[in-house]
Amino acid sequence: MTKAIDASNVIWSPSGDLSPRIKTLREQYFSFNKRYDYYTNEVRPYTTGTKWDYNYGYIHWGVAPEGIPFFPGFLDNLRALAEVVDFPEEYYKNSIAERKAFFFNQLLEKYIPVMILEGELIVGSHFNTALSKNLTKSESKRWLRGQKKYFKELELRCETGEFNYGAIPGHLIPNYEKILKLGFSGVRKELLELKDSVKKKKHIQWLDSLIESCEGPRELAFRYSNLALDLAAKETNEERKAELKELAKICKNVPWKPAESFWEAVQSLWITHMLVLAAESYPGAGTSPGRIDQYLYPYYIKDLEEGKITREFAKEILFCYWIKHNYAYDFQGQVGNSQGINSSFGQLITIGGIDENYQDASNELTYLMLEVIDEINLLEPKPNIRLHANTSDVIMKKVANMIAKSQGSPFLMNFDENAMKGLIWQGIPKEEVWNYGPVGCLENTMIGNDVSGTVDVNVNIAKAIELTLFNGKDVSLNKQVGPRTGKPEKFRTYNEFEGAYFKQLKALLDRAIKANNFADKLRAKYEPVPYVSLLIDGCAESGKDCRAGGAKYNFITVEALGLANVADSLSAIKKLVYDDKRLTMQEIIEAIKSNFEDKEELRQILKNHAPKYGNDDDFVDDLAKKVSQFWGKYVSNKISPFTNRRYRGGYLSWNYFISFAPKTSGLPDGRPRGAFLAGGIGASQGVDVSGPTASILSVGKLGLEFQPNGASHTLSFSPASLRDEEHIDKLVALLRSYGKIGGTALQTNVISPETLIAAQKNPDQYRNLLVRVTGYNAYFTTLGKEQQDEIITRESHKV
Amino acid sequence: MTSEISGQVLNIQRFSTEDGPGIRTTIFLQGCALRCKWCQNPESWYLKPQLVWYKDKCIVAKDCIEVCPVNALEFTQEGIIIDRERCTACGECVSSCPAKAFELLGSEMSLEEVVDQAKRDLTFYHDSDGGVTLSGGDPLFQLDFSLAILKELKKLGIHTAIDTTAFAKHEQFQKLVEFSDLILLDIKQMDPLLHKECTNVDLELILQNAKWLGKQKKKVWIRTPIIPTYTDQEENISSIADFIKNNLIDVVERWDLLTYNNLCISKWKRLDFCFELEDLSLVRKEKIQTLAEIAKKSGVTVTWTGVLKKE
Repeated sequence: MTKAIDASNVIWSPSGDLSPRIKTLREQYFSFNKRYDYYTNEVRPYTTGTKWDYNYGYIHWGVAPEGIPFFPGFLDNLRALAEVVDFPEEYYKNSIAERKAFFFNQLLEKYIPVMILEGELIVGSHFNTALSKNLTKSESKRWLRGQKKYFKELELRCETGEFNYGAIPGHLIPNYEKILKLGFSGVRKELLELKDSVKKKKHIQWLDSLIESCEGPRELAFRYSNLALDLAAKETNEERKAELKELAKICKNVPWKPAESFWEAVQSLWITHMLVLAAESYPGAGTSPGRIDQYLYPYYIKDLEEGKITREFAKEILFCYWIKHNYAYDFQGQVGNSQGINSSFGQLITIGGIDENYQDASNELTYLMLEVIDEINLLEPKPNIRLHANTSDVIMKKVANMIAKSQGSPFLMNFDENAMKGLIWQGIPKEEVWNYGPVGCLENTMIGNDVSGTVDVNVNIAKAIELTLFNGKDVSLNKQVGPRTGKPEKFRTYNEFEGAYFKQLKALLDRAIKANNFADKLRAKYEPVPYVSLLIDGCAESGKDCRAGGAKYNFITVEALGLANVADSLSAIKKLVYDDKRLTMQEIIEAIKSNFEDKEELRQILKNHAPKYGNDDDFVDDLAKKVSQFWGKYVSNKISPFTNRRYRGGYLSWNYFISFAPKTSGLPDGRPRGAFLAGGIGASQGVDVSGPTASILSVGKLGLEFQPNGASHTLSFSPASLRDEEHIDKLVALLRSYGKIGGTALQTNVISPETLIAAQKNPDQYRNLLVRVTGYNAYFTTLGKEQQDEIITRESHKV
Repeated sequence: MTSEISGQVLNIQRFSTEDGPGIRTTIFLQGCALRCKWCQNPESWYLKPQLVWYKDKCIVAKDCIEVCPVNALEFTQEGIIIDRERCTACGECVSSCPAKAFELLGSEMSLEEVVDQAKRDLTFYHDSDGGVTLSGGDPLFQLDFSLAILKELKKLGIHTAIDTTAFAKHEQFQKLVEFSDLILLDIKQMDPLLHKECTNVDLELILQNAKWLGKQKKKVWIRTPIIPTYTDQEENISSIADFIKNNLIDVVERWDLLTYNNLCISKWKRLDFCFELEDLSLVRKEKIQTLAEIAKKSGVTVTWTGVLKKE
């Protein structure tokens, strides 16, 4: 008899086998209000105390459009609440980077609180900050003028629903491995050597800021070391006393010196990582640790072989590390559990994948981490598993089983062969590309040497359909935003319409890129971040900050949404207007003007009588491919002039398929204004009715190497379709095929509509129901109602 | 490929995970000799396509009434009524309805079209040891078309399965088996009288073909629908077990017990067919477990799946 897994009624929950220590630490994290009196990691603003100092900038946040109305308030509040850090006046003579390095060190030595929670094996408590910009009066004036100019443009483009943009922190993978190996002391030594060979004054100043930045982490770790000693002295439990003493020793060593043990390596990693979040005043979004099963492995295996650690204790350390990442969410602790659509920060870890010989790189730590992910049931760090042709059946089955029992949420799956194709196309050498890693949600970058600005520009390519229909006008604002490409009523062929669309699309991309070039320059000029540049290869040698094009690899990513709406709209016009002549362009335009009011029949024809993307139908898939490749190639020829960062494409729609929806008119695919746009490279809601194989083939046809960032694709399964071993094996096979003919990144949902509706009605009973939503995972009950509905509809339409 | 060959196809379902090993595409062909009272696909009984109307999709555009060339549609308070005598299944209403509230179940497809669909998921078949299953209806009903499809699939190296009642003349059954790698054979009821009553055909022919199949080298999966009062008797399962043990033991890989599900009721109603089993309850878990234990006496691997009665 095959054993049935009744997945429909079981929600993924933390394992009952967690140790009391881990259970307590996990619960403590979730009890924001209970621990409010003694510990929260809420944002701590710090200032130099000058009248012109700011510690919040619009350009870092423009891609979270739901926050736009509050930006000016944040700016004022954080300024008013800031604690003053001693910052001598003579420091204003130095470069901004030197000032920032000094200020940050001051903070780490004297100001930022340190705390060790009961039972913790990994320490490092406070890291959410809003740091001074450290500008002079005149710099500050120019910076503020730039912010305001940026903000005005941002508001306009969000009003028209064309795009949002910003120079966004995070979204990179620092070279943590280097710190584990050399310690900050070793890196400092390298920098001092480099400084000897450098002549230019500016470059020397820059290196000085990096050298200084090596010292702050040491000072902070010493503070933790002292605290651990104090606590050990008071501790009555002998076991805990020993742990605290060991922690004191560990923090004396790392991250200053090279890590000598697995415990030290994980501790070094956490402090180094948490300070990236602190230095950027950004709560983690996309600051990703990368391939941790690879660079932690040598420490793990050595300790294990020498009998210094047990597998169980290593797991306990990892659990502690995992919980730490989640404290980034204290950033918004005051707004409670209803974090709406903001509920994922995406500190992405990567496990699995290939090695330099293109062989399977997974190791014992990969398996251990799979267990940790499975048992701890937390949002962060977001796990990504790299799958490839040589991934073992054991891992494939473990992944498939975890998907089946956990509503599909534990993983983003990255498909090495497809992902690397794009990275090679954008210029990463073949001998390096195997060591890529995704950041944030699924954005592919290189590790430790790459700043790809992966959510800097987010473009609604469906908006260009509206602009084509109305000769460049936004129809509800009655505002000319695009070029005049002609009245479509007069187009005699489909090709004329398509040509006009491409003109509008180009112009839209040009507007977005021009706007973003300004943000990019503003940040590069005024907001260096030497601590982070220290961790990105190329910045020291090039003499430039990681935000100013100093990294070895520099890109700015344009993420598009609405591809399916575009393809389906073009398909409807081609088929119904020009091939079948069932409708006229005029009728369609008139109907869209009134948002299909009293035109339901026409809307239904548009919806039902033309092929829809996502069903392996070449008629429409070819149109999707043409559009996708067109814009992918177009943006890759654009460069941000101040930083020399090249643009590249990707599909990560985050929550923009909601925010752009009311700003986009009805479309010829039958979608009325306000209905959600299509996310990632997925089909429009409910129209992909041919099953997952067809959906995969449609995606595979796009030629996603022209979007080197990668693309978000979601497949949904009913629990019944994964009910036993036999069906799990079918999912494994489906994933293997995906690696050959599908896209770059896949996420799955395995949830029945009944479960989701129940969760919506009784949120208290379903708090730990994790779901993935185009590119990130979130607790279902913390999502806004609209997004919950979106998920329910999508699930329900599946065959 | 001979382009003139065509047949009546009900539906082609991709990522089919319930009709044989691996990831499959199932081609549902029209036509069946049996009239099982619990049939899940009654729309497949006849070669003629069946018109159905979906109330929830209708936006009352009434284009259908206008375009119907034989006046077979009437709009009433209960919705659209289809005059089945008049309807010629021409499909005018289907293409005119903006909302696709009409569907013609079944259409003529050329061999080429069918094979084009069937080979799209080749990569998935390869990675999952899957393939294509001919189902229906019964692939025996359009034997020549079925054979043509199977031959083309074999040329492409695709694993083939047939889901069949085995109710046909021996030569016909033999031909179909020849081009199939796996036979999903339905054995429903071993009591000849009861079999006739609930399927409308004689059992004998089926059992003869099954016995012959037992001596061949093809892999066989037996499938038995567990229908309360019609096939769920312990003696019935026991008899099937004996039959398998005595005649099919060398070829049967597994025996699937499929519990009755009543999702088909709405289908019957849409087709204006009379469904006799409306009051039939679902199978209880205890029952299926008992039957599965009995089935194991056949000596083959037994699985069960399907909807159960909520206790």
